[in-house]
Parts: sequence; structure tokens; C-alpha cells
Amino acid sequence: MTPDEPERPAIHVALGNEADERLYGRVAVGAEEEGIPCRLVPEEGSDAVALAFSAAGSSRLGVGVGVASGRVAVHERHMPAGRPVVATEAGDRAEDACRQAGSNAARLVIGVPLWLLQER
Amino acid sequence: MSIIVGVDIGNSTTEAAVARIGDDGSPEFLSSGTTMTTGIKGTVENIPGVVQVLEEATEAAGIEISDLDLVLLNEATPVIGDVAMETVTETIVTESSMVGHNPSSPGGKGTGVGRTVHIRDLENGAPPEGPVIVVVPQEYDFEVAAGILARALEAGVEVQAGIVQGNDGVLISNRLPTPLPFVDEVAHVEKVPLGMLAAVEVAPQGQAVRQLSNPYGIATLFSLSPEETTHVIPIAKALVGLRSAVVIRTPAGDVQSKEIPAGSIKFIGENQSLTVELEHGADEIMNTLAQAQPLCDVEGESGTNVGGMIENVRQTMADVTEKPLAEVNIHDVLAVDCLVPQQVVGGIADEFSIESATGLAIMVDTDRLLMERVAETLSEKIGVPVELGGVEANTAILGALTTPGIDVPVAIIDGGAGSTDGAELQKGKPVEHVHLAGAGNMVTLLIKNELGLERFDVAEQIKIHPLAKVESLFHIRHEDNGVQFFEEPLEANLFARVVLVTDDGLVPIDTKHTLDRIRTVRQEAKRKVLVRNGIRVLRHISPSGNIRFLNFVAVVGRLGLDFELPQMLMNELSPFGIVVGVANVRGELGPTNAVATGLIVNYCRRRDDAT
Repeated sequence: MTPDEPERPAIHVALGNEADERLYGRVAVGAEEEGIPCRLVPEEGSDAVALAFSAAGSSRLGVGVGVASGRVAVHERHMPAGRPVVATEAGDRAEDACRQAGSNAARLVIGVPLWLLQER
Repeated sequence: MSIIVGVDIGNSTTEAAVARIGDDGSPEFLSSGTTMTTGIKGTVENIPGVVQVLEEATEAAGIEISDLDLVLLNEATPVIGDVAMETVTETIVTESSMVGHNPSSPGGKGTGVGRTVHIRDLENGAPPEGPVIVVVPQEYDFEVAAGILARALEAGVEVQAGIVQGNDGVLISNRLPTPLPFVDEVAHVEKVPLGMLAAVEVAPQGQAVRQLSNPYGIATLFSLSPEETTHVIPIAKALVGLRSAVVIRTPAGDVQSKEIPAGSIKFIGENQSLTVELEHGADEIMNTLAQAQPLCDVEGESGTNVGGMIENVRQTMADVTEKPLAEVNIHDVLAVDCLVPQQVVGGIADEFSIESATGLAIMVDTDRLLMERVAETLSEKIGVPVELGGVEANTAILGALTTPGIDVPVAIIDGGAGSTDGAELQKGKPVEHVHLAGAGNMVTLLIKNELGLERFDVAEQIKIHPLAKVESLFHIRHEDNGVQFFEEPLEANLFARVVLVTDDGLVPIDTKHTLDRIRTVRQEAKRKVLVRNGIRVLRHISPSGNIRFLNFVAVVGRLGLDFELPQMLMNELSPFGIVVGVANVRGELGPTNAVATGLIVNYCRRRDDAT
């Protein structure tokens, strides 16, 4: 890919400093089931909502996922920065929460109602 | 000078109009009130509702109930309606032999045929011979399942397709050397019989299964004889329009489309009695009813669905009116055909099949004695004289005549919750009136059943509010395709949902139906019940039964408040050369309060006549 060729559209996923790399894989699986590609982007921080917002800002689909400090957030570029579309406490089921966030991010793109059962 | 109140007890609302009668005998209206009717119309249970509406209306007029000189009640000959619905057909799967449903994302595409095998049997023991369909329960993670399948394919097992319990179809399919069709979200995967010949079909995105919804397609896959092919028709029918499906051939497996003995209805007319089978459909029933007019009573065949429905209504009415069962006569029936989703008995993935059903609205005439009892009890309770102030239909016309720009001759259609009433007034003639079965409640029942909703109140909300689709976090598209943008983001639970546009904001509807489907069901229900009854009413009251002899029609009652019905009626009636409009009682109340207002107008007229 040459530098002036635009990036392929994808959901952007940002992991916090201490977040497990494998959690990205779970987000990716959630998005894959809905048929939407996603990509890990380098972002620094420990606030899942802020990470998700800047990931959404760099995504050409305008949708981002942030994982940090035991929280998972899904954000959309046009939303107010402090108001994620969905934010969940991952708790001890971080893998499921991440898969669901991936699925919800993809659903935001394709226009299908979100899963909100595990909402706080 | 005196202060009087007209009170109209309807099937669902109780309305009041307060007026001061001047020395010249003309009314000056002071206030109005509306509240929910308590109990069944025409019973003493109505009194709490009446007292509440009196309190509300007198307070608005700045007076006390004790200041009243007279309360006028509608002499309703209360028509009491009831609605019921029975399915005429039912699909039963004996031995599980079919899975057909619409998971949000099945995996792969195409058709696979083979013997069903549990995924654990691919791991252990001898690999199965010939083509197989693999069954994957939830406890197998998609990566584990894909690994097992990839190894089995490498070892030469002819895996053709899969049936998956979790929402993993796409993920498994994507991780195989070549994608295979997977039907997922099959809730009762343990009910899939193993070692049986099965076919799995996943349609490409945007399409529906073709092979398994075609009887000859199933016959081709399973090498069926012509005789066997006739048995798979209900299966093929049940799978039409679905994105993915499984058909399993079990030795005794069979899907039956069973006809329930729906029974027959006997219309006992003054001149002749006619019988019609319920399964012949609503049109036939209504035609037979028209031939049997004038109607004395209706009977349902005992021991059948319709017999039960009709006798239930009769029993309810007998209890309410304290009349012997034999004296409760049914004076009108409205039959409506509909298609209702019914859960398939014995299905594996909570399948639904569309069955035909008939809805009936039934109406019983009661007598004046009942309202007299209400009047007496009310008078004792509030210490104000209470009188019956005129037949409901006549007073409704008098109320409608307070609409600006209206004059006799005029006909009204008065639609409420339980019955659709009509009246016609020509100069120098007594008022013609009629009460027919079926109104708002029947529409709600149809919406509830055709959309397969669990709750009556959700159907009621759908009936009275327009729809919209939330297209993004910031905008919605209304059902007329108009787009509305919001400055503030919408709640996440509204995203991509079909919502009702209410005064309190957007309310999501918990259903998988599309906006178009809900809208079609809603409008068809109104057309089948309210528009049809509007026309029936006009036929009954117009001179010589010809609608063309009417000129002006005013819609009163809750029917007139509906956001689309007046326009539907106008479209339907304009070919007859009739002007149809919604009444505006006293120039300010819209179509409501016509009877309550008419009671007062009627009172003033009678006094004029007397002097």
C-alpha cells in the first residue's frame, strides 16, 4: 500500500497500556461474525472510552473499540467524546465482553440493533 | 337557570360535558372531561369512572358535584362486544425433521447433503463413511470446532455442511480450507437425530433458500418417490422465505399440516336461518350474514372452536346483565381473515409457521333496564338526580351537529373500542341508527396476532402511533420516508430499531418485523375492521341501502382521533360521491364528547318541545 492510497475501511481497536493482546482477537472475532473487518491501532492511554473515541476518529468507518482498565467501550466518531455508544465493565469475563463489543461495533456499521444485555 | 352534565359511558372512555342552561333554554357549555371507563359498559362497575369524570369536569368549571341540578346518562341499550380468534390450521412436526429459521448470520452458502454426525465422533473412533452433516453443540468453541473439522477433512471425511448451536456459523466456516454452509443459532441442537440423512441449505446474502423450499428440490436431494413427495409439501411451505434451513429425513419423520375442526356458524334470521363453515373464510361468513338479515341470534356449532367462542361471549353477557343465557341474543358478527405466526409443535429452532385464522367480533344487545340501574345507583351515590337522556346514536348526531359548517341531512360513523355505530338524520324524520360488532379492540387483536406479539398493550400502541426506523445515532426515517435529524445523539437501545413516534419520544418495538411489515399489518387491520364497518354502517342507515344517497358523513368518537383512519375512509368513500370529515364538536373538542354534548342539546330540545 503506497502512502497516498487511503487505508481500507475497518473498525479500529485500541488497547490500553496493560491490556492483554489476546483481547484484540476476541474483538476481531465479534466483528468477523457480522462480516466487518477490524484493525489494531496504536494508542496510548488507560481510559477505555477515550481510547475508543480516538480509535473511532481514525477509522474510516467512524467506529472504534477501546479496551483498558477492565472496561470495554464502543464509540462512534460523531458522538460527544465522553458519551460512548456502549461501555461495559469487563469484569472476569473480559473475553466475552470484548467479543460482544466487536459485534456491537460491527452492528453500528451495518445498522443492526445492538446487544445491550450486559450493560452496566 | 340550572347546571346539568351529560355523561357518555363508552366501552373504553367515559366523557362528560357540563353546561349552564339559561332562562331562554339555551345551553352555555362550561367544561368537559374524559376518563377511562371502569368495568363493562352498562354495569354498576361504571360508577367509579363516572364519579371521577364528574369530579374532573366540575372542577374545571369551578363548581362542586353537589352544585349540579341533573346528570344525564346515555341510554346506550349498551351494545357489548367481544372479540376472539382461532387458528384454522396448525403445523405439527412429528419426529423432528425440519429446522428452518433466520439466524442473523449463517456461515458459508450452498447446499450440503449427508448423514448427521456429532462433532465428537469426528475426533474419536473410525471416521464415518460417505458424506456427513456435522452437529456442533455450544460447548465446542468455534476455534476448536474448526480445528476438528479441518483435521477430519484432511483425513478424507466428506463433511458437507453443519448445524451449530451457538452464533458461530460464520466463524467456523471462515476457518475451514474451503467455506461450507453452516446453519447456526439452532437452540435445541440436541434434538437433531444422529445418523440420519439431512440436507442443509444456506442462501447467499439477500436471498432465501430455494432447494429446500421446493418440494421437488427436497425430492431430488433425498431421492423421494412421488408419493413421499406429497408429504414434504408442508415442510417446503414452512421454509419459504428463510435464509437458511435444514431438513432431516427420519424414518417416521413427518410434518403435518392439520386442519382443526373450526366448526360452523348458524345465523338465525327473522325470515330464514343459514349456516356457514368458519373455514370458508370471512367473506363467505359476511355474505351469509347479509342474506340472513334481519338477524335474531347466532349460534356456533357445539364442540368446535367457534361454538366455544360464541358461547363464551354469551356467557359473559349473561353474567354481566344477569339475564338467562337463552335471552342473550347476538345481533351482529364481524368476521376477519388473518394470518398468524404459530410456533411449530415439535420444532428444533423455535420455528414459526404462518397459519390462517379467523377473528370474530360479536355484539350483544342488552336492555334499557341496565342503564336505569346504573342511573339509580349513581343518583344514590352523588345525591343528584340522574336521568337517561336519549338514545346514544341520536345524541351523538346532535353532538356532531355542533360542528361548524355542518347541517342536516347528515350521517355519522361513531367508532369506539367495542362497536361501530351509525346514525342518519334527515329533516322531519326520526333518526335511523345501527350498532355493529367490531371496532378498535378488534383492530388491536388483529395487530397482536398477525405480528405474534405477546402483549395487548404493545399492539394498542402500534395501532395509535406512526412508525419510524432509527437509521443512525443521529437520525430517524419516518414511515413516510421523511428524515428527522437530532442534535443530541439517540439512546443506543434505539439504534437500528423500528420505533413508535409518541408524544413522549421514540419507543422501540421489541420485534424482528420490518417497519414495512408492521405498517402493512396495521393498515390492513384498520381496513378490514374499521373501513369495512364504516361502509357496513352506511349501508344499514342509508335510505334503500345505497350509500350514494348519503351526502355528508361525520366521523365521531375515538375513530376520528386515529392518525390515518379518516383519510383511509375518505379514500374508500370518495368514489361514492360522499363528503367524509372528522367532526369538531362545539368547534373545539374534535371528534370526542359528541354524545355527552348531544345529551345536553337533546335536553334543551325536549324542554323547548314541552313548553
